[in-house]
Amino acid sequence: MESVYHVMGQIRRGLVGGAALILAISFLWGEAAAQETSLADGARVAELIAEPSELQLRVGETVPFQVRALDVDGNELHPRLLMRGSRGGVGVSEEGVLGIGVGDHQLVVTVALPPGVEEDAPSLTVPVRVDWPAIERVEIDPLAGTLYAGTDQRFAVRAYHADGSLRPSPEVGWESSDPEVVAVDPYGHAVANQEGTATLRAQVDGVVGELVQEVRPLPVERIQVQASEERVRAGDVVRFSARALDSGGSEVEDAPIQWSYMYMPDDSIVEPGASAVIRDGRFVAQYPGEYTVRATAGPISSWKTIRVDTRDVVRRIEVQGQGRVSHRRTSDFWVYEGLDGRDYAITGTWGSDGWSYFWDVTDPTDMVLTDSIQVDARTVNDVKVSPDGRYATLTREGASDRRNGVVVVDLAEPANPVLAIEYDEGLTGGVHNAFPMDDYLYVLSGGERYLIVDMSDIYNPRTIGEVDIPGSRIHDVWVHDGIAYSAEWDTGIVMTDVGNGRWGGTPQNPVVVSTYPLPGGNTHAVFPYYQEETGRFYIFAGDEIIGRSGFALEGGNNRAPYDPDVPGSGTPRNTAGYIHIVDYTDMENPKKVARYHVPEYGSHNIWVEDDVLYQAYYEGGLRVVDVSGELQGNLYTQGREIAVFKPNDPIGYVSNAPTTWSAMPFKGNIFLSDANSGIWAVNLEPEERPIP
Amino acid sequence: MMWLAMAGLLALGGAADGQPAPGAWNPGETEPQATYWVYVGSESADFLHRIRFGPDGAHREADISMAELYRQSQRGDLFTESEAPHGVAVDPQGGSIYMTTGHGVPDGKLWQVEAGSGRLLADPVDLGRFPASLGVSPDGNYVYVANFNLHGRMVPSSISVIYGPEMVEVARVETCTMPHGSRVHPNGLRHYSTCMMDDQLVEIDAMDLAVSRRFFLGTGQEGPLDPGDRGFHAPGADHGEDHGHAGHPTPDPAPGEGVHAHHAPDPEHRDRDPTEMDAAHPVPDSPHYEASCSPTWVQPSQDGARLYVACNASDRVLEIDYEAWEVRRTFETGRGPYNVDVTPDDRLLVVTLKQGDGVEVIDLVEGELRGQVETSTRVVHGIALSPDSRYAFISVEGIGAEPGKVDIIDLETVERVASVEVGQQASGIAFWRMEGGL
Repeated sequence: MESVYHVMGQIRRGLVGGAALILAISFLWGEAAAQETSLADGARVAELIAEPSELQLRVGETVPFQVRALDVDGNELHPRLLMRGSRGGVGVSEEGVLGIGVGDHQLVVTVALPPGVEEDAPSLTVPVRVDWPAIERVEIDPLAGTLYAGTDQRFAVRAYHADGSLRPSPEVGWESSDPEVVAVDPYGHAVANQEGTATLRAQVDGVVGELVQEVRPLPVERIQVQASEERVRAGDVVRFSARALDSGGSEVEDAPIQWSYMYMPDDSIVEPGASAVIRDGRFVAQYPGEYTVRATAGPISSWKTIRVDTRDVVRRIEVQGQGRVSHRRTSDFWVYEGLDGRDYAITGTWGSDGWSYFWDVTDPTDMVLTDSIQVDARTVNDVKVSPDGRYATLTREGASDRRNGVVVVDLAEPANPVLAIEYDEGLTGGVHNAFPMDDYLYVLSGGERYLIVDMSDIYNPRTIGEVDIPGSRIHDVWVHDGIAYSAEWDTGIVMTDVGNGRWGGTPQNPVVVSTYPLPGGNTHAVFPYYQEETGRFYIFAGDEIIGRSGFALEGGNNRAPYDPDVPGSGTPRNTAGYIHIVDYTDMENPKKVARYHVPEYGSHNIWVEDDVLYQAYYEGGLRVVDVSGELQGNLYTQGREIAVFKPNDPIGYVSNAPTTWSAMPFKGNIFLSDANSGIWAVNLEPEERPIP
Repeated sequence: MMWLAMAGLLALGGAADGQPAPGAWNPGETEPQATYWVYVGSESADFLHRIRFGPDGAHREADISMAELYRQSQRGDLFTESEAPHGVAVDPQGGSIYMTTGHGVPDGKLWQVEAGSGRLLADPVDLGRFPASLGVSPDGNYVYVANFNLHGRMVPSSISVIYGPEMVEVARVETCTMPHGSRVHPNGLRHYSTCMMDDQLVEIDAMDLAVSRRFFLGTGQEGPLDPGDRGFHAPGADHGEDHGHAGHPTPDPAPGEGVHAHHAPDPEHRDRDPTEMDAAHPVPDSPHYEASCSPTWVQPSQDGARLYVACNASDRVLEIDYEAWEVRRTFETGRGPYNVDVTPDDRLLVVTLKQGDGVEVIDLVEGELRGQVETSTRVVHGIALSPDSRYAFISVEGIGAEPGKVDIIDLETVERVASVEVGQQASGIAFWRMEGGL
């Protein structure tokens, strides 16, 4: 009689994240099964056969499964087998194999060899596809307004599992009971052809949802289109509005307005085509020319033409001075006015023995190194100074004792900084960034959370609070108007009330308000900015992506100076990423509206001041960008770049390899740190260029 | 990659202080009769290196960058900042190198690289927080990784179990706080790790993948524990006597407790809406257990009869009887024993002294110290022993921008015979193969 293994092992459960996991299970004997084969007696498993050889099941479903063990002659053996599934994906129960998480997983079956048996035994890997649970119901979201004949609108669908969870991005099959009334395409885009009633059906995994849709005659006779401006520059946002009016002149408020545009270039050879962005009536053009913006409701349309000129913001950059650091990699910097009235800067170093340098930059054409501090670290990643100039923070990573933390420097005598304390309580895991305020210091701990530290006595700091988003990893934090904005990779922008009070938060009791994920999940830095002209509040949130795998320009990842024995050394590094611009004017409903994306380089630290973005763009150098006015679209393609400076240094740490880390405007100059060349000061020449 | 600037220093020849220059022989020493290869990670340089030691000296033979491994991966993850290679192991067949990286988003990973070519064999596996030490089962099927959680909250962490041939994590077994060291018993039936902050030795049944035994290592109180005892930092655990704020002298592989949240949320909660969380955590000083042993490593003897545990805080190595589950002998060591290993002939115990900046060799048969040797730089880390029981390869982290080192110790004379520079912060080290000799 053929023997069959039944799974009768014990299920062990561990709790991780609240989800039950199936750990190991070993096969034992079923009621009708034969006695266990002892492999110590010389029997050898030559083959394992899975039945079935692969599995497909749904989350929560259990399917039968068995494994047969055969010796070299094909005889059935019954050794102890170990069967384990991908953690979080597949488990084993008494009834068979259980689907836990959606995806492609594996079941691994191995033979439990007794001690002393050294021969290899076969193992088996069974592919398991776990699909979503079955759909229980499908709902078509009704339109907010009326569906008028001659117009078209998109319908949305929600597909629910039995447990009430939504199927993400379901595949929907659409149809209409009467296409003569309403026709619908595969994307849920419906066109109302004539008055009447039709039933729309959306099918997901065989489950159908229906919506009875009435079509009424379109009462619109004409559309009035208005523009907030009639002549603008490329990159300026123009607000178009449209009023659909009936025969009596009354507005049809739920008439569906769709926007489009036509473009006539000034020179069709230079700019044969152009792109603009129009979204909910907000229009921005990238190139100069004439744009005709059209509002349409079914067969009725109207338009308005506006004139777009060049932005003409380019200015020349002039180098003022350089504080060269060519024997170490430079990291971040901060420039400030010292308590003695002179101007100073601090630069950190990366992978370079924990050095920080102090500079007198009162004369930016002659920056003088005045002091240096070395701490037990491999990297001083971030340096900042409190707004009142009282103290500086140097962050530590790679300490020899693995107790990292933050170094607080007393700046009472700015030319002679004194180490106040090395503070590492709760900060042993490496401090990547910190944000000092006059009274409190916000400091990252091990990439997991940030602590809030009372700095009233810089020699005796005291941690009084923390913010830890479960499962999230943090890279940076910036505090503005009592709100802490943290950059947390794939979590995105996290907004926490740490004293603003609107949501009841204090430094001692911070209150997390919202999270806003960004595309790509590489949120690395944030800079909050209030734009006085428009009253809008933006968060500039930047990626950091080291490497360009998958891009046409991939390049390399070198950081080392040239060495003839080391291939690739002495070449620039290549990075990727860009700046996302999110409108937080309505702080509880943020919306991404724009980006600044230089395609062949990677973004790093951000500074915005007086409607100018000072963007460190790694090998792309310092980018100075006009961010005045309402923002929309890709600022890079709108002619908003004022100037670009690449700090090439033939005798830099890596020669002629700009790697701009940070930039700050200060007293009419722009300071920047560059990993391969130290600190620079540049400024923009006046707008009006002298005509020779 | 600061060390690359010093690549030109790898020249043979004696140094001014009489110690062998990197890669050079000490002229008074006998040349090796075989050629040996080891792999070592450099945690702050993001490299995996291969070192060759033989009659022609010691050399850094190959360098594999983390950036290159990411480039080969199909997962689409992007290499961001320091990945921190920490633990290194070789599968028993010598075909694969397993390596953990302590950093990452969200957490660290396990990597599998082809020995020799350095080619990535599979996409990495996401593990827990700061995965560190790892051990491979004798049949080569399973890799056990300690999720060290070096800088996280003081809560129990886990051992990840990965099926190596397919690089899939099949289990995560909770042990106790700050698990470190990961070794599989020669019989393949048991796995061992220690918990630095709970003074525990933990045994996992490799068949059931569950904790089968625990042993308390606190000084003067050594003995078996209930298998369900997850230590002093487990939620709901009785903290017992208030030992006050932990303070460890530096340098120290185990950071002190520090100030931390009184109510630590489950670090694995990723499906909760963060805005519903009360992110405010008052941080009073809380009573907790101060480890007296602070175990950092466990190593079974080659015959499996004994387990050796390094007590970093009490400067001892405990020899524990595998069957009887009790301490048999205690070896006093120099300052800060960190890693331990036993020669294949079960005769010698090699101990790295992290705070003591050296290596000790203990004769297990005689039960006495055979010798002690200073390492070429500070912050000693891991050990790899040659199959002929002749040499110990010691990784030494170094400090700051100085390169990491691999020191090679002759176990017969207990002298350092060679030293090779690697990237900053040399970390995990594992023996790959030898040619000639035996």
